[in-house]
Amino acid sequence: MLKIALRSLLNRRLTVALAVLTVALSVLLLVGVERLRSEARSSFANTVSGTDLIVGARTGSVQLLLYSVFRVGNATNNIGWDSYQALAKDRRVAWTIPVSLGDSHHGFAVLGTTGDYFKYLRYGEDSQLQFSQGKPFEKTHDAVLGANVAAKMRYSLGQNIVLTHGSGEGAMSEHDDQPFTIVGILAPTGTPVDDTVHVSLDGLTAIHEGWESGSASLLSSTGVLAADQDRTLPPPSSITAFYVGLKSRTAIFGYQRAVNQYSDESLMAIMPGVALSELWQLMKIAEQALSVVSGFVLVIGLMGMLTALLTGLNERRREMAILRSVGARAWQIFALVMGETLLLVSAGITAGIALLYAMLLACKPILHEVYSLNIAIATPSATEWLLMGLTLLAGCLIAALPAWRAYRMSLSDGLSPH
Amino acid sequence: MKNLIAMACIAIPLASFAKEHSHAHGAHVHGVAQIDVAIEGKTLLIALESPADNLLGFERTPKTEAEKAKLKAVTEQLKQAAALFAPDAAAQCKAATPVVNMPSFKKGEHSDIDAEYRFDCTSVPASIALPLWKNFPNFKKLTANIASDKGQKQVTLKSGQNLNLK
Repeated sequence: MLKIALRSLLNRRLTVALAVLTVALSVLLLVGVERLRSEARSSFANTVSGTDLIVGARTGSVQLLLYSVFRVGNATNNIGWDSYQALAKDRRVAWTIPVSLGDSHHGFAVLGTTGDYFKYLRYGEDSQLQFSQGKPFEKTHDAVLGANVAAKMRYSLGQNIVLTHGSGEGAMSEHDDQPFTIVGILAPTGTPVDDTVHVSLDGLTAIHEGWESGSASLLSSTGVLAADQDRTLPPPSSITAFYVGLKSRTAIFGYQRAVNQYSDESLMAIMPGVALSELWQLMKIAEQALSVVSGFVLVIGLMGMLTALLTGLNERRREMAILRSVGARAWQIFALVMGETLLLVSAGITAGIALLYAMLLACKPILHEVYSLNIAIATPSATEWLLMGLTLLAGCLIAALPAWRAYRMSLSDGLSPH
Repeated sequence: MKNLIAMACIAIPLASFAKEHSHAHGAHVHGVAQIDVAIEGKTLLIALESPADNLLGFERTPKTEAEKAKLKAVTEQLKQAAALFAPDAAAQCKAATPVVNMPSFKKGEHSDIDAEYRFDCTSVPASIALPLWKNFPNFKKLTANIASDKGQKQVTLKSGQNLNLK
């Protein structure tokens, strides 16, 4: 019987292959969307770890998180250096990392900070930044590159680079009077750090001296200011935000209150993890829309298979009748069609998952390079198994229809031709 | 990821509008309160920030004898950590004396009640039951900000739900 069934399938191989392909593509979309969603989440979540609070000017908490960590959008206001000094001195604070954003280098963000950035910043599961070459910046005009910056621009240690005033396409003018020397290149992290040029706060102060009007003054463009590398620089008047690590986690909420109620400036402290939770809340609608669409695609795929099966059934009346005549019971015909459909759905699911992994493997470097998205090639998650199970269940329900028809027909048809 | 970010950017103005002052003064919505939960080692710290209405049923200077009695009773109740939070028994948590700030009832202002509860446990609790749902039925929703060694997150709890810390 099984042999006959396989022969029958082989006989209809084109229709069968197309039915399997439809299911495979639907499953690919359904599981693929889920995979991308969860990977994007963990990619986001891996960017900030070990930072208890981020302090910035008062805006929305999600906005502060996005511009200070993910370099998306801009700060509406900065933090005065005095306020930073005062808040960093709090006895609950273990370390702070000041960050100053706004300049760029060929589209990559330039981040001004201190040596503490390399010491205390954590990503993933508590990993510290590693240097693949060189060391942290020491001098005013030293720069440390993220892995992507170095790879894409083909930079190496000792090379000079010029920073651009402003960011993005609309960046205005170059700080070409004061080139920076590359002293370090960081190992890849899969976070926005890879796309960042790091310089010291002093470096940023130095290149902006004489730029108070927004463009280069004669003094700065002639290079007079740049000539003396070792002069002492005044501290910056402001920074964009600062990350805070506390001595004890239980101090988070007390310190957060202290920042929010800071009287000299209107500031806010956000917990990065909590702000991420809020971000997911916002994204939920978009994610659900995606899931609904891929769910519908699956339904359409299964419907297409059902159509093919039902049409095929008419052509197979003779086959069924012969099977009956050689002794097959009506329930065996039911089981045959049912089993056949389930086999097709299972083959579709397997092919879909195989396609997904093939695509992930092929696209991994592109996803990493273009979207900084690190996709782990891991075994399917619980949710993904559930989706596959649901597909199989839907296949069961759909299979019952042609199986039932075959059962009925084989009873009434007999061998008489119509 | 860029697409996700783009979507987020569209949604952010909406969110920042709603959340702008949530940390500074607490968004004052009756029925809703915020708890901040921090766990470090074996210390569990819970800070409650709630509109006074959730606990008292009024937000002005108590006038009648009944209201005065209510204020007193609620103040006493808030000083009992067990009336609000119950970490799971396995963690064997001992409550320290809570710090309760009752409102001063300034004219024309919404009043908030702040309280801080500290527990010293023998192990890290896996969940915290919330008797406050039963004792103060005016609570309809809690926003919980959690910081533990598993990271930070925000969860929203509906009446009757426990706070899962896993």
